[in-house]
Amino acid sequence: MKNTRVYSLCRMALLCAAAIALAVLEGVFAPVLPVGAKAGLSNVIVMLAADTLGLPSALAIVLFKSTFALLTRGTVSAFLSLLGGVSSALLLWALFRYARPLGVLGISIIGAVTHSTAQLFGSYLLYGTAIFAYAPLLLLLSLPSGVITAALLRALSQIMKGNE
Amino acid sequence: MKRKWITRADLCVLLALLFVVAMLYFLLFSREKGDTVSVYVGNTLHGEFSLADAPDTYTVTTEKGSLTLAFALDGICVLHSDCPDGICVRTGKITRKGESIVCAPLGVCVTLGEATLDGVTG
Repeated sequence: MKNTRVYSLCRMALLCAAAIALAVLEGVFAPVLPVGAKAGLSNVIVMLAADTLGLPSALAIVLFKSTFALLTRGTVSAFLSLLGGVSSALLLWALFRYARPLGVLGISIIGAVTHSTAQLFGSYLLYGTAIFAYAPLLLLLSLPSGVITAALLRALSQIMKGNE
Repeated sequence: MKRKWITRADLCVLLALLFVVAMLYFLLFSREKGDTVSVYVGNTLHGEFSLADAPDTYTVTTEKGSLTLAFALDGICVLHSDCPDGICVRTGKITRKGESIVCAPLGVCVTLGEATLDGVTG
């Protein structure tokens, strides 16, 4: 069953559902985190897809997440979600494929930094240079976010490996 | 996943990130105190105030809701906003030139000091 289209479809559906569930869970933690910061939990799914399924699957999950953001939080959130998601998915895929010296932790941190930087750039297009005042805090928070994402990715890939 | 959990290259990434953050914090916190406030709705300048003679509060009304600003002699904060997440309220008071409070859901941006018209793009 492993190689059938149904298996691939089910796996993508599960990953998309997990990405949405983690995005909702992030919203629960948002009030206790510093302003504008997010834990980036749902990025773990994009990382997993970029590593194990390839770039098209990772981009499909990003698109699905952005559509969810559009329906629940409006166009600005969807735009920022898409920009951050596509940038980090492209870089994560390239790093998993070509950056041999890097470990999971390093790739995860770079992914979190890319996500934050792309969203800052998107906010700059919308609101001007003043938004860069958030840059130091968001970049610093990419560090714990990257560590959490890397730990989750490790656990998740173990589970997926066990199920295959 | 055959890749290692952590490598030496990861530590270099971590150190580089900490260095960049330290530089950015240094640039941000070595700034002068701000004395003028510019309020934008989208990319349109909605109002400009001097902290010395600003009103106690000022309400910005947009199509998506309203946001109330509270002025002090050394800075400005968002007192209340109709936005669902309240990130702008939790930002607290900003006091230095170039700092800003952004309410993305309402499309409102409040900046202190000189980072005003020059920095806004379409």
